[in-house]
Amino acid sequence: MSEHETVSALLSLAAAGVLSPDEERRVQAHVHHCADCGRELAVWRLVAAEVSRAKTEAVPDGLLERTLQRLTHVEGLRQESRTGDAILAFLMLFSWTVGAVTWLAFRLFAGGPSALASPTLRGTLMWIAVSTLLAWLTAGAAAVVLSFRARKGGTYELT
Amino acid sequence: MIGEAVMERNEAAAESDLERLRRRDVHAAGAVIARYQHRLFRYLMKLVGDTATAEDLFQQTWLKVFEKASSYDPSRSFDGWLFTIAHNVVIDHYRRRSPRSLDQAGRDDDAKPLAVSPDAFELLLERERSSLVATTLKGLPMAYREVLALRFQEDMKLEEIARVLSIPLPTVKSRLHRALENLRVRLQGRIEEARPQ
Repeated sequence: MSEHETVSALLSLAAAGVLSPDEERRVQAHVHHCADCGRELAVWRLVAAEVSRAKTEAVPDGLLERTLQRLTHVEGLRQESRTGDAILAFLMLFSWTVGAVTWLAFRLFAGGPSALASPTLRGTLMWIAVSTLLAWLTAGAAAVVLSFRARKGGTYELT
Repeated sequence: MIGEAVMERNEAAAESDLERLRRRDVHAAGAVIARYQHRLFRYLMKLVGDTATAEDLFQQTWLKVFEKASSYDPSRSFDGWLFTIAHNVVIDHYRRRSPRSLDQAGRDDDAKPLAVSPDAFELLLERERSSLVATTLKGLPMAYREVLALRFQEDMKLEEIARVLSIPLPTVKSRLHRALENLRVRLQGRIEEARPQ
């Protein structure tokens, strides 16, 4: 590729102001004695200047307010969702604790302190069944409450 | 001297707003949005060309910014980070609408060699330049509009553009070159159309 061809390929980028210092020097040295490339560079500069000046539509009225409104709304929903998750986690933990305490109390009253030290298979299975049932019931109730709240507050937008 | 003091105060306020934005403060978000709304909206308008869509994408961009604010690294330029998010929001928007990506849009429309003299070109630009260039820009593939907007409207360096678009530097260079060639070819087409028979 001749010097003329190489520089020709750089002219548009020279007008865009993105050449390295070396490339820029090379272009300047060439256009100094090549009238065709000089004219070409002038046209590219004109195109670049027009692109910089190209008109754009103004920001619509109230764009900032509408954006903040949407942001506040979504942030509120997000906050509500986080609170809901925390409530759900707490209720699940609470129900498991209640299940465990109930089992201990049941064993204590039914067989005395010695029964606590030697759990039977039936008793353990009973505890698992009762605590699981309690946990599921609590989770179900929490899910119903949260879905009502979500329906009231609208849908979560950023999914 | 007074100008410098005012600039310093503005910069300090901007940094403080960004810091509060990182802590998800909605009031700080208002100040940051106000500062960037013109540039961001102009960029989105260049990409989608429709006010309603640009406004929706503008809002989605700020929702994402707010959502990811805590992961923003203050040692990096906020402008670059913001435009990267906006770029990804636009890509998601177009992917939902059609499977063609930005890159494909840029490749399928290569420029043809020039055929019109520089003088005729200059004459036409002089006559009806602002509307002509704006309309011609709108007709370019999105990848080209985007790189031109980032370079000429946002005055970004090639390295910044590469970060925003997540593409290598040589690709930015060649895309910018092709975008300018493409624009020039299209402008020349309009000159041919306007030339008296």
